[in-house]
Amino acid sequence: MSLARTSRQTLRCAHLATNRVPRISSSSSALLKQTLTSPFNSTSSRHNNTFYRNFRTTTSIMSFSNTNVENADPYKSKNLENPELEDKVGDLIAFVEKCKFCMMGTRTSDGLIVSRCMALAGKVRQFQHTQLPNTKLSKHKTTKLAAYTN
Amino acid sequence: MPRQEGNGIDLIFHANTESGKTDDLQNDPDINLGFLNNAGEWASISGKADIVTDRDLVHKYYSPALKAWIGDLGDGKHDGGPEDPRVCLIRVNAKTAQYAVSKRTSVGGFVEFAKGVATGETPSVNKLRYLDDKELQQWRSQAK
Repeated sequence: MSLARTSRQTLRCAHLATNRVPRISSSSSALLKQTLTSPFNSTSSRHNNTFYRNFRTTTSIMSFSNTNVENADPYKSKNLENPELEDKVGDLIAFVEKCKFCMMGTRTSDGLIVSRCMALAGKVRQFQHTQLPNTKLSKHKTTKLAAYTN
Repeated sequence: MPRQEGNGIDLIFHANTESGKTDDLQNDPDINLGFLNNAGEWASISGKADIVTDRDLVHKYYSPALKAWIGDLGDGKHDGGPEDPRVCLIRVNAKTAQYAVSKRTSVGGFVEFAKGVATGETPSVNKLRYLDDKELQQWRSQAK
């Protein structure tokens, strides 16, 4: 095992021991910032880039690695970009509108993740977490969902 | 055609309150929306969902095509119309989004890909982008 890898693993252990970098909520910018300055970020300039590190399908710290080379994901290095917010959102919305259909993934009561095809019905700009009246529901799903805290 | 409002990032879907998806979301509002086309472009939006049964909003987004999916039970109430209590909306409050769309034409992308196969040089063919919660909040706050 290389010295660099050993050091990196030591840093990981130390970091875990101090509990400074837990899994983070995507809604917590403070925790996000803390995570992005984690000492076990890669030492490459790309990996020290906040935006670069952000791009993954989970906001938790990457824990699986099978190599100790830097910049081991050249596809991401070559293709990742961070334009103005308007362009980022605009291109996303344009793509979503063009697709019209998506796979909606949810978690079942037994813990499995399932998905099904859904057609986009519309978009809203202002999402308000107001509890809406559900007087015509035969069940209490809406009330329970509104009361859910995660 | 789906009703669209503004230039929003929070998406709306129709659903039947008696379907499995509303059961799932009752237990866990975490949701992911995966968009994909046959060119390999994709988008993944993660967030929290809520089930909306407010009749004004249901009316707002209602589509007559829903009758075919919801069905008319023939009791004068559950008719698949906007007043059918089974008709609801799933509203997704996006928390993060990531996507990759092509930055080149299909021909240009193929050329770059072929060069990559030949040389081992990873091609730059996509706009690979990430939006975090903070950016999405900022976008919402800019909405007029």
